Amino acid sequence: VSHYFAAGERVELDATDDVAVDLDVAASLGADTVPLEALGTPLRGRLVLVASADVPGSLDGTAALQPVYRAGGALVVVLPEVRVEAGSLAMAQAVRDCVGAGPVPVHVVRDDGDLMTLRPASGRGADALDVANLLHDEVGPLMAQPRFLRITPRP
Amino acid sequence: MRVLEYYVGGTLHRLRLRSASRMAAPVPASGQKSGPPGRLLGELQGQSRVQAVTALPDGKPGSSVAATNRYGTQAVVPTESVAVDGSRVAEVTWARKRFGLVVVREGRQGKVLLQAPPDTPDPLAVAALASRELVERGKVGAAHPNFLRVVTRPAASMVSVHDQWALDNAGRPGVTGADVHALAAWTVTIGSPSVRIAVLDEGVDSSHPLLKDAVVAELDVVDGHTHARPDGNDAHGTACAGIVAAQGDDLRGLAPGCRLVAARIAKSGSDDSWIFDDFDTADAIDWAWDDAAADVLSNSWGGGPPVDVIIRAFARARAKGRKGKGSVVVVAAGNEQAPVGFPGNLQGILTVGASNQWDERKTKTSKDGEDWWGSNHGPSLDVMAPGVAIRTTDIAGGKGYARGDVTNRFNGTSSATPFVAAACGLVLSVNGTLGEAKVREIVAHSADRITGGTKHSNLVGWGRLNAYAAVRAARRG
Repeated sequence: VSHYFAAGERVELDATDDVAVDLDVAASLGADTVPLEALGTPLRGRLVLVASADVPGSLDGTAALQPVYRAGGALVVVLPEVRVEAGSLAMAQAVRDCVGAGPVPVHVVRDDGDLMTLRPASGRGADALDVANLLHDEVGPLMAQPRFLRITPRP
Repeated sequence: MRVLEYYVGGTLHRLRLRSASRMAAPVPASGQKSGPPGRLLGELQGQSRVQAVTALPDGKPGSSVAATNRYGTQAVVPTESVAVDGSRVAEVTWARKRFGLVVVREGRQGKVLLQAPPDTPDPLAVAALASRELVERGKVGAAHPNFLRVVTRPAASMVSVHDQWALDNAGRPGVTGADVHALAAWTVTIGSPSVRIAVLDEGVDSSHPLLKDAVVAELDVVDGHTHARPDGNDAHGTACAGIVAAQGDDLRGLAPGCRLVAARIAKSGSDDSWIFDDFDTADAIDWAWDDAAADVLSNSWGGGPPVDVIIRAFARARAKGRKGKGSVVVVAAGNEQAPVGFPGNLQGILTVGASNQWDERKTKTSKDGEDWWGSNHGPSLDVMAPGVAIRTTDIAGGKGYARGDVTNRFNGTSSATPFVAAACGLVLSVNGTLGEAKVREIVAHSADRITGGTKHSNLVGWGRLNAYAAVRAARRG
């Protein structure tokens, strides 16, 4: 079980037996992506949903795998990106300071004053979740939201 | 006569089984001739190994899963499989050892389908017994025999192909006047071309002959196309757009004079799912109220956990849209006959449930016969609108809901939502000075009460949309 924050409230994310595989990244790491592509459910681009048991162990902990959780009746894939609304320039600086000193190396890929887009250097969605939660716990910007791809029943 | 026992919600249900030779012929779908029961079972057997038995309701309350409605009787065919929800590996292992069940499929959300071994003399009994014991052990969320259902559709002949009952209900079927009062509203306005209504969905067929003149802006955040037309069979957004602003002689949206903004935010997955990216969705919301200057945002989507990017994008639309007067955000309540989920449970939006031709809250047992869905409920529910057998635009050609460019069978709170969005468009067409909160108040409080009460109800909100009353109230300011 993991979590994130929405509207200041903690939201639980239940673990699943699935993982989202970026086939391009997996191929760049030398993995044979043909069976993964055959087994996987296409999501978006080259991202496929695969049972964790079907993924070669060589990809564990790499940017090829993004975590999949269950929440609110949907599956949620955590992508390696965090959007931040600081609320003030002082808070924005506090955000920069926090991620600069934090345990997860982060690239600031967009910085428009109090609006920022962060990307964990690892390329892992799990790290994006940690960065967002760290910012919420330590700094408290208006928003620090990891990027989710959600899969819901068709309306 | 055999009886099959299984648990639903912790209560033991009994289903009486009858042999196929004694089974009444199922009511056929409209336009089809009734075939003999044997043929029907043969077709079912092609899908799953089914014994030559079927079940009909015995009429005793709580003793059967089958139901009778005004359109006929459903047949329920038990299989030798057991559907388990919230399963644990240990329980599956136990069932395998105890009954010889094998896993034939793993579904989403922890569902597992187990099957009795083929050499079992009475696999139906084994499946039923296994399901009961799994429940009684208390370590699974649910377990019951897996049923095939022969569900009859509402008789289409009762709904004229030219009938837009939601706009003007003549009571064939239903209750005369159980509609949004479109004809009366159109005596005041059909909508102003200066009012823009955004449909955020799986794309809109912006080349559709009944929509193309209305569409003034398009965005695709899914594939980055320069248009918002959908892929493949994705017809949901086109149907929603038609309810808002279709411009035809035989098919009209509720606000045919307003303009459409089309934002493609989702696409279908391979398993009847919807896939969308929260950041892209939030960007589409911001684009709609900001770049495309949409006055109203119609959102026939939802599900999953809340996220700040979408919450805050909606908040910006309400605060900054329409040059500070606020764009109106309209969201579907959902179709699970369950509490309203995200984003319909947010404050400051119009959350829309579905009603039927009888002015009932759409439920799995309402008179319309669509027993596979019901409108969601809760304190955030604001207003109801028609959501059954809705005639609207379909993606052109053989794809989509129907073979032509129009469907008569769009449904769900997905269809109710654009009616309310269109009514907001009419309101703003007669009084563009209104703030978004006032528009929401007018639309909700001018609704026709459909439960007899005068207060808000968690089941039907303030009642069923009355577009005429709304535009009259808007004139008064």
